[in-house]
Amino acid sequence: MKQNKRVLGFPFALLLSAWLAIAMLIIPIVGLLQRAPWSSLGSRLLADSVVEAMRVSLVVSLSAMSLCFVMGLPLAYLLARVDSWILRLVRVMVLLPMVLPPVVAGTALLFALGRRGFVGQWLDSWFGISLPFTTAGTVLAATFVSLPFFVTTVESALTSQGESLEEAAAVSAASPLVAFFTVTVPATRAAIGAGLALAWARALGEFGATITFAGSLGGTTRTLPLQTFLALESDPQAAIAISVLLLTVSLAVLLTLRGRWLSR
Amino acid sequence: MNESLTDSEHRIEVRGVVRRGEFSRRFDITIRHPRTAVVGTNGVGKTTLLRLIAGLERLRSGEVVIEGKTLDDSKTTFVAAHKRGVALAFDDQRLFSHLRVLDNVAYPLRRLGVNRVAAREQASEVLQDVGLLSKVGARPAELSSGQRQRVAIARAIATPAKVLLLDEPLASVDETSRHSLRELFLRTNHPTVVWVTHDPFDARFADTTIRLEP
Repeated sequence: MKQNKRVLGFPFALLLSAWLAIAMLIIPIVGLLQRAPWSSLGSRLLADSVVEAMRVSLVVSLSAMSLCFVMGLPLAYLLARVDSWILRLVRVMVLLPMVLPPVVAGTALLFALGRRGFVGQWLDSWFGISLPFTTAGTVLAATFVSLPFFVTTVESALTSQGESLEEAAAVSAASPLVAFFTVTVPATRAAIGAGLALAWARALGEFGATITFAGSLGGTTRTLPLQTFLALESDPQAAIAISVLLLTVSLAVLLTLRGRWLSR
Repeated sequence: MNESLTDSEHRIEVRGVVRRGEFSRRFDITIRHPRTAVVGTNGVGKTTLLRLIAGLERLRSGEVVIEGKTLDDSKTTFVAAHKRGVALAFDDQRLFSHLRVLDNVAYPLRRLGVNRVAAREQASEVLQDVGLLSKVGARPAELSSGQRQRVAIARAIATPAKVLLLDEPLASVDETSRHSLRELFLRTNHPTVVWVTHDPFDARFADTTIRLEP
C-alpha cells in the first residue's frame, strides 16, 4: 500500500544525512560491480575450487537451515506460549548470536565442543565424534549464528497470532500436539518461510565462527565466504566473482521476502 | 417449553472463582435443562462461563462438573479441553484460514478418528443445515461475517460432544437465517446445549434462561 503524500515539509538537513546513509550502502556494492570480471564470470565460478566451495556451502547452509527448523520451531513456540523467568532469560540468550562477534562464537564452540571441550571430550571418548575441522562442525557454527533469525521471526508471528486458533482446535477435540501441526504451523507458514530464508542467508554468509571452529579445509569446511577470503590474496578476480554470486543470492532472498518487508 | 425434556439430574455445575489479571468473578451455576440460554450485560462473565465449561479457563477455587464427572477441581484434576466432549462456537468465529469451509467443519470429526470421506460427508450435511452448502469450497476469507459465523456454528455442531456451547451464535447472522438456526439448536443431537445471547427473543427458545448478575 502506498503511503499518502506528506504535506509537511521534510527538513533539508536530515535529507542530506539520509542520502549519505544511502550512499554508504550503495557505494561498496557499486565498487564490487564495476570491478567484476563480467566476461569471465562464468568460467571463474566454475573453477574446481569454487565449485567445491559451492558444494560445501550448499550442504552446510541447507543443513543449518534444517536444524534451525527442527530445533527452532519448537523453541519459538515455547517462547511464544509459555511464560516463566527461565524462558525470559532464554529469550535474551537466543538473541545473543546476533550481537556476539562471530569469532567469539567460534571460540566458544571450540572450548565447548572441541576435542578437549567440556562436551567435546565426551563426544570424543564415548562416540569417537570430533567436530572441529569437519563439515558437521561447520554446520554447527552456521546453525549457532543463524538460529536467532529463525526463532525471532517465527516467535513474533506466533505471539501476534495468539492462542485463539489453538483454542478453536482444542474444543474441536485436537490435542495440543495435533493442534500445533494442523493449525498453528499452517497458520504461520509465511513467517516460517521468511525465517527459513533469513536463517539460510545468514548461514550461507557465515565466516568468523566457521574459520575459528572448523578452519578452512578445501572440500570439507571451506565455504564460499572462506573461499572468497582465500582467493582475495591469490586471485582477486575470483574473489570478486564469488562476491557477485553471494550478493545476487542475498538480493534474491530479500526480493523473495519483499511481500513482508518491502511493501507496507 | 420442552418441559418433557427437563432432566432432574444436574447436567453442568460451575461453582467457584475464576481470576485472570484484574478480572475476578464467582460463579454458582447449575444447568439442569437440555436447552439453556445465558443472558447478562457485557463483561458479566458469560463467555468466561462457557470457557470454564469447555476447559479453556481454570478455576482458582471450586469445581466444574459435567454429568457427575468432575472436570476441574481447581487442584489436581483438570481435564484438558480436547478430552472434555464439549464443543464451542466462539463469538469471534476463529475459523482455520488455511482450510476450506468444508474442511473447517470436518476438522473436529477428523480429530475424533472419522475418515476423510465420511467426515466431509457429515460436514456437508451440517453445512446444508446452516444454509451454506454452496460455500463448501470457499476459503473463510471469502465469506461475509454472517457466513463465517454460520461456519463456526456448523463446526461446533459437527463436533460429536455431550455439551454444545454457543457464544452469541446469532449476533452477526442475518434475520433470514436466524430462524432455521434456532431450530437447529433445538433439534441437534447434543444432549445439552447452552447459548449466550443478548437478544431476549433468542432466550425464549430455551427451556430455561440463566441471568448472570454482576
